[in-house]
Amino acid sequence: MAIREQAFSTIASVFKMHGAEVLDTPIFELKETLMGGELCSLRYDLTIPFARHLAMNNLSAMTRYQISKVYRRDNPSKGRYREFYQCDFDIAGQYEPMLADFEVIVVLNQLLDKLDIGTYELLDDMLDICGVPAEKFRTVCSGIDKLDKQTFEQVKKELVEEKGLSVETADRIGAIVKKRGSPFEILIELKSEGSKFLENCGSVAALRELDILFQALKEANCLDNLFFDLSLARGLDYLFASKFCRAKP
Amino acid sequence: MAIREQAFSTIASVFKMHGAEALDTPVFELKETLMGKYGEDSKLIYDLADQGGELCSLRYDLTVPFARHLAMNNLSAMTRYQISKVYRRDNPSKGRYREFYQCDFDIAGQYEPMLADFEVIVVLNQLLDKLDIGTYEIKFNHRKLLDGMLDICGVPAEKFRTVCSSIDKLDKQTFEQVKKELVEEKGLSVETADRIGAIVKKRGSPFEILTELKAEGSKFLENSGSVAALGELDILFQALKEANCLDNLVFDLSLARGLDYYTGVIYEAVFKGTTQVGSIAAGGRYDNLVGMFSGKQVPAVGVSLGIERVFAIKEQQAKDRNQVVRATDTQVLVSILGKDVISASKLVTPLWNANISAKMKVSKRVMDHITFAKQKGIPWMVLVGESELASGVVKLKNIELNEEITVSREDYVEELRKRL
Repeated sequence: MAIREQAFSTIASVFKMHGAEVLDTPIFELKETLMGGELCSLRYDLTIPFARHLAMNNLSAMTRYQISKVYRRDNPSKGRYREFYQCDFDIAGQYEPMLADFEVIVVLNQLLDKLDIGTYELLDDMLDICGVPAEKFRTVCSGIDKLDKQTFEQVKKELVEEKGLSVETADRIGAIVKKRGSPFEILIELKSEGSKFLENCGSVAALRELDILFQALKEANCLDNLFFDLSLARGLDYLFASKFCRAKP
Repeated sequence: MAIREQAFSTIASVFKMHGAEALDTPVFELKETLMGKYGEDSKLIYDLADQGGELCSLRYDLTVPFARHLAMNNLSAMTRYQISKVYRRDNPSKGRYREFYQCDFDIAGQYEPMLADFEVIVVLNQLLDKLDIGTYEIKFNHRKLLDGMLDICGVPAEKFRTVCSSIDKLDKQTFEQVKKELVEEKGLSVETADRIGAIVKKRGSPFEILTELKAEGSKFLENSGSVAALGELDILFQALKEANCLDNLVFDLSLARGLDYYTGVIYEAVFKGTTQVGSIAAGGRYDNLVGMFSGKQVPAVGVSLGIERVFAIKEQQAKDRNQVVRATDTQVLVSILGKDVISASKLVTPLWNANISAKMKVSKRVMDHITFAKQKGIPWMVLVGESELASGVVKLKNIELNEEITVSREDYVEELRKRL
């Protein structure tokens, strides 16, 4: 328990250094409201409760941290629990583009440095533009997200047979998600003349934002551990714009 | 939240000073673990829906989980603390929540009589003193005395627990109301109820009441359980006197505590100030609880602090003293007059590297920065506009004093540090 207490203390001090106030939310949220008592469910993560808190209290900005337990009816295995701690740091609000994104990546770097767990990689990626219809976006992302554990052949099968993509689209995805390297290196490749990413105005804006972000992170000496990895998709529905942050031991 | 963090830190340090290790238990227990432990309060337990696995319920307190932990791990001794939330389907009111923190300290194991009980009450005193909430009183009784009393008054043994829950209401109801419940709902005779009434009125300083109960002719001397209790209390009071912890104790024969599992000393701390919060801490000895899980008895004694009520008191104190409590401790606001995120990152990074807590703000309007800093209570600003960038300098601004000084880019971190 002493190791745990120390880690929590280190983590909280990094969060506080970045101006976060601590937020506590109830362990269960409303499932729906019924007569005679509300049906509630134990929280699955700390992000949805945070969003609910902002909406409920009509807040337009908040920088908060929360170190609390979450609950998942998973199959327990090594490292996979049904009740476990998460340490969340979020910046909500309207800011100059990339200002907040930059700060969150710095926080992640600082956490992992101070927790002293050895080498790690930050993976950064960009949304796919290979002709996937918008409504299939999230579900394709969950498929791509499995590439850290499965081969592309297995993921392609799921994309074509279960998610209904054409074989060509899946192959186009395959060619791009192989790309992985240092941030500026991949960025230059994606911005070079003839790049398909320049044909999509969403990705043009993304490339510009990432340029700012990488410069800022370079100033903060936080770029060395970043890997621009186009296969990082993150399974959860609500993440978009620049997605990042999976640490590998 | 700063008051809360401070309070938890104070509480944990008292616990650690008494050799307690931190214990964490799951937020839900098997339903069967919690059943039958809380008497009439069992209806307040939250049940989780049946999803095809084991039936579970959210924990109602931290004591039953601790007992379950001891039994499950076959431990015969442990001194532990736990600061966690518990869940009760109560009617929410002032100071009464459905989800709230408790801070528990328990000593489990076989020790010389009263050794552990003495330490727990000292812990309670130290907690309440260090939390600086003002004057308080610790009401005190012993389960065996209660049982002895009921026996003397003619209550049949099988009604002991249910009569105790009624007596427990005497802190909120008059004896007339409780007597009505005893006679009409619990089936006692009026004489028995009156006899109980005469005894539970007794309340006073520990040695004073103890002397009365031990006096020749006292009915308590006729019951072996209460004779043992009186002997234990004598030792305990002497020890507490040595530790200067007797003054806040009030021996109160109406203290019954609603829970089924107490077997020895029981106590409850109440705040004597103006904020009405009900009891702020309670506990007792519960020698038979662990055995209910494992068949092997492990004696234990502990105390639980209801921190939410302490917060209510401290928040009122802060209001009364006109204290403003900041939500964050941010020391510096890095203010870029313009839109340049890269400049912000260049200026803020050395501050973070120096462990100075800092926020960035990028806006063309100076008032935006100053308003933000005042709202958050941030004392210092590092202000940089186009002219400062060009000349390689930085303005340091003290918000409260409204004073500015200009320093070079190389030195600003050191200059700030001198002033923080």
